[in-house]
Amino acid sequence: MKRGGVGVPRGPFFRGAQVLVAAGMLVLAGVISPTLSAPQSGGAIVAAIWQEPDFLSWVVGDPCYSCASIMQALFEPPLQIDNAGNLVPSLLETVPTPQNGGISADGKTIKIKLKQGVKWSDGQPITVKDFIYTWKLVTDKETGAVFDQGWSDIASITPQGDLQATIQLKQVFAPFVYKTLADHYAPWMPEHAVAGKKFRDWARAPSVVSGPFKFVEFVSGDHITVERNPYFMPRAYLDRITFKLVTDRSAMIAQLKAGGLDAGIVLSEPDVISVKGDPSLVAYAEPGNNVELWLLNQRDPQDLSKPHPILTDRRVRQALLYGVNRQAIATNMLGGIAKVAVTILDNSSWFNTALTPVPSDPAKAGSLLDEAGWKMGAGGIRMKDGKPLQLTHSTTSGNQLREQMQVVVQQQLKQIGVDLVIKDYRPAELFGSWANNGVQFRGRFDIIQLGDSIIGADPDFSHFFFTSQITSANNPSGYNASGVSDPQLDQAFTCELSTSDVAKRKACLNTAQKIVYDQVYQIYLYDRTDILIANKKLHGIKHQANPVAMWLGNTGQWWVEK
Amino acid sequence: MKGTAAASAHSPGGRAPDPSAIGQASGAYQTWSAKTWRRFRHHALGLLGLAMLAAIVASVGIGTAVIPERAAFFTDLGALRQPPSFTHLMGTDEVGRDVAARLLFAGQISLTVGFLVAFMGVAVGTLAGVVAGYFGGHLIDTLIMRAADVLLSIPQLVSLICLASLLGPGLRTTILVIAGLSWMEIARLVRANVLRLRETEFVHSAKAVGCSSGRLLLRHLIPNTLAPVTVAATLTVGNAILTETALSYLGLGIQPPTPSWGNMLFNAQIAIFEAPWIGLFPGIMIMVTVLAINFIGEGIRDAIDPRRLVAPLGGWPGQVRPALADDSPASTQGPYG
Amino acid sequence: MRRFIFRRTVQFVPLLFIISLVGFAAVRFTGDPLAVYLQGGRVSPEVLAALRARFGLDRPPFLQYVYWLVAFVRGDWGVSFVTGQGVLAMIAQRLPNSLVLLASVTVTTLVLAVPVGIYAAVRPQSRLANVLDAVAFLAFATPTFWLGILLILLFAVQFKAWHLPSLPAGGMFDTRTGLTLGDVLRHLILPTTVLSVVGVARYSRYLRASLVEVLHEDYIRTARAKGLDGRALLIRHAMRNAAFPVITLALLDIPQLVSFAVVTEQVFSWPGVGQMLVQHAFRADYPLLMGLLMATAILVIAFNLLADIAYAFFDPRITYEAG
Repeated sequence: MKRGGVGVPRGPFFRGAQVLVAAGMLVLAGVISPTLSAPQSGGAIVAAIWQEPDFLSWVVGDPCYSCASIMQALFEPPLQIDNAGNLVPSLLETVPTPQNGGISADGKTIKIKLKQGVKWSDGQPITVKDFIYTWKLVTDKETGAVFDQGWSDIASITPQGDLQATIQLKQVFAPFVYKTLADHYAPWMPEHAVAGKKFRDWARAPSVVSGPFKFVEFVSGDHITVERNPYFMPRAYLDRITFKLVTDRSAMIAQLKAGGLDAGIVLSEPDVISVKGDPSLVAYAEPGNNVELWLLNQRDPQDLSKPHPILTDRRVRQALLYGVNRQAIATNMLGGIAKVAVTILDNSSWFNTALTPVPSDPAKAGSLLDEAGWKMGAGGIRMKDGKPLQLTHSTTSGNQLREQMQVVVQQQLKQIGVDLVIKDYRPAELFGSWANNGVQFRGRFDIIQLGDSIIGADPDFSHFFFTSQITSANNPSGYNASGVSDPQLDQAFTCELSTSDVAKRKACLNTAQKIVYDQVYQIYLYDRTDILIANKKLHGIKHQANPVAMWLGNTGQWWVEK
Repeated sequence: MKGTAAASAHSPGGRAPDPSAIGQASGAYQTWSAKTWRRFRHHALGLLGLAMLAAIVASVGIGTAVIPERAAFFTDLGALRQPPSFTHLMGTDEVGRDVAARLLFAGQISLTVGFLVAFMGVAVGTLAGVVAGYFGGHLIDTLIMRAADVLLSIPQLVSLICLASLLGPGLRTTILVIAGLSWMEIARLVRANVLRLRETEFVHSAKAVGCSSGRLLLRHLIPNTLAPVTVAATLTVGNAILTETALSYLGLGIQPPTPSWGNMLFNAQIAIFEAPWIGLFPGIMIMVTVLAINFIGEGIRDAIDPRRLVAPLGGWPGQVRPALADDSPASTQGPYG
Repeated sequence: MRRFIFRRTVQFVPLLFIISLVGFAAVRFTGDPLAVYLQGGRVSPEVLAALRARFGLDRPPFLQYVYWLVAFVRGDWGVSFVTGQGVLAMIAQRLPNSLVLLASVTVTTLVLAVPVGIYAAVRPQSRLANVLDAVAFLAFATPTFWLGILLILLFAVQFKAWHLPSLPAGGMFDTRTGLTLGDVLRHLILPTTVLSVVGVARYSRYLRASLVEVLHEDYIRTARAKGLDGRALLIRHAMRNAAFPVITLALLDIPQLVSFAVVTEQVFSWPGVGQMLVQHAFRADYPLLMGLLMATAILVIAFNLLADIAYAFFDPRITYEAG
């Protein structure tokens, strides 16, 4: 008999007892475990993306939703945004607000304090030096940073030790805390890992990160793999996630059904219809911030200095809105998942609740057009001064859902005497810049259908409508491609941008929304749903109301049944 | 040498050669085509293909005349993805249009693409090939062949996107692009034949006798080149239809709402799991049409060159080995798609 | 012949030059590389201007071409607008994947087409030959992506639902098990099938036609008359001559396959050059597109030359000299 530790009985009887107890515990565990839904640690999953990110750091590269999200798993911002739209501290101890002195009365000084013990994935502590480094990186022309909003408004950052800093802004920038400390364009880059390297190369393979997962490999055209970051608290459940590029939609659904994929990220409504009834899959569908909308050109596509011959008449725009049966589209083509839209702020807390969805009413549309002087002609198309009511409708070619919707809408508008001519373009041509003769920004359209949203979690959507933002030869990067110019609308937006006070901003935004709604400057078709389809065995998936984080904002909480 | 040439100028019928017919394919030129037609009529596969194609063209032609266009374009949101029934023989598609009616109107477009592309490809290709072959070795030959190389080097996708930007997307651009990439094979084919013919004994001997090379070439060119070019032409039709399908898959095909079999197939993808019939019918139509055209090509090829069925003695005068020239289809789909 | 080869080699460089010029113009019409940054209005005008300068797009087009040409001549194929990585490095990274597919397709095609072609040539009227013929016809007539998707639905989805051993539905290897030979082979099966279907059909028919011609040649009959018999011997003799035209055609096809198996690579998410072409063509990534263009051009010209040499070598009666 061997000598055991203190107090451990020896002998066959106790041996037997130990075995019995162990067996009993095993049985108990076997009985209980199927009913336990406690997250289990471990496991690896494969999630499909249909477009590959250019880089894995937000500082450079294309802001595509389906791929930008991967950065959420790798980098943690100082503040997070919860589903109610409130700021929640993450790396910082508290959220800076005017009330707690974090934001000064004039809005130009902001104080931040990091939590104790937050670390990078290599064990180095995260300090405000990284914040300063990121700021320098983003504002340095050499880096070629794409998103510098908020960052470029910083005049100075003064550190007080490793964990505290005071930020001085050049001028008041109301969304600063949202945009630059929370949200997608906020995470810091590690100075000790990046310094001295070419940032664009490092951003393809970020060696040191701050999020729940750390980078393993990026095989272009195939996949990106990340694994658990041991220094991130709370620790992620999953061991690793592989984001696999799947370029064919049917193949992706097929792989989901066959079990080759555990999740498909950023899918669309028809995909939910395709997997309905499959017992192994769960479709997560949540209202997102993206809205499918129509831009209505207010300028003549042939000559931008002249007003549009048809669409400058508010009655025509209203008629279009009444003529399209958005509910039928949402119910039938989108499986009833999507909701008819009212404004671009539909799913946010800034939505003007006084506004209601406009129901389809072809009769009213007809009478509005009659009133506007468009009389029904022989071929079923309305005429005025010998000209037909003909409008071109453009969207991204190759997008099946949009192309199908165009055909449906074309027919709906034919009923009210509008001749819709379909003219689609590839995205690189449709959304090309002024310099490149892009369709949208050169105003070479009557109606463009696209999906757009407010920028990040901040509700400002003035860039669509400011007179000063009208795209022209003098202002080729203006975003107001429709050429909308409404002094009252300008006023409402100016009011909204000038204050950090939430109540005041809300009032101004309500006014802005109402003006756009009444004037029908844009037609909002439906609120796009954020959709993720996953295997039943994958749990913990939660939607973030943040349009960029979407599904990958909490990858640390995902877990998979073994 | 001359003796051999005369001896091999046998027609399969075995008649003694008529001296004035030296260098001609078999017998007098006029009866050659009659013989060819007779052989074609006995070729089961070719006839089958002809019948199939006739049926398809007839149904498309009659169908599109009889059925109102509206039927193919009318979307019915209440009747999405219906399975085949009495009201909709082939069911409805992803926006509620009747698949059968749409199939017929799409046939118009797809067949137009196929035949126009083949016509243009053959016209340009034959011209280029004849010129290049006749002047083989000279500058113009080089220019033409290298121009073909240039066009072949640019990925088809890039060419299509570029042309679509310049001319606007749609039917015309699609036809131009596919045709622009089909002529090279035919040109190469024709050129190879012309080069061969230039060097045949009978051309040499005829020249020695005093015939002008141009007229001679033309009289021999037609029977000898007609076969492979016709075959290549029929294959081009099929390939054009298939290429249009591939382009639709990449989102660069015929624009909505105009239907084509290719874009019907592409749009059917979105509902492939819950309504597979939407893609089934256009797919079958494409296959049947291309099959029919290929059968016809096969029939023509065997009719013109029956040695494949009957073991001849000797061979065509000056006929040289590479059957490869007879057989190279203009594979603009890429040889493997 | 030597003069011919010399002439064609000399033409190589000017030809590449012309291709690059035409290609550069064509590529510029693929759209705006900055389009992705313009959506959403998040990017400020200064940043856009900086990006434009970084990409060299603020220079007049002809100057852009000159810069590109000068760099290319020095071996610098440029940097992708999309990934910021070197174009040559990107192509080099994806090329092996396409080559793997190409090799697999070539081997399959060879292994299947040769016996089928020989059999059909030797026994032209047999039922098997007719059946194979019919299958070949069907293969020619099938749209690629449709076939691909049908195969995926059958072998990946349905087989799994019926609890049969199933094939993977896409990708090059299973990231869960890692890159192993067996895994890659499993993933190769479906894309190879799709691509080989037409290839086998074509080449078996070429071979058959070519062989039939050769088998009826005088010298073969003479050999037979002399007593040299045994199918195998004849086949070997005949094959040597019959194979040439087929090889010539294969040489013409190879450059096509490297970057043109676009549809198949899209359907099966195969990380090859074709897929890269599609993704980057839609992003208007000029440097990468130029790189792919030049790579394809070099291959096409080289293999065309090889094919012409093989053709002339095979038939001494053909001369490329002025007649």
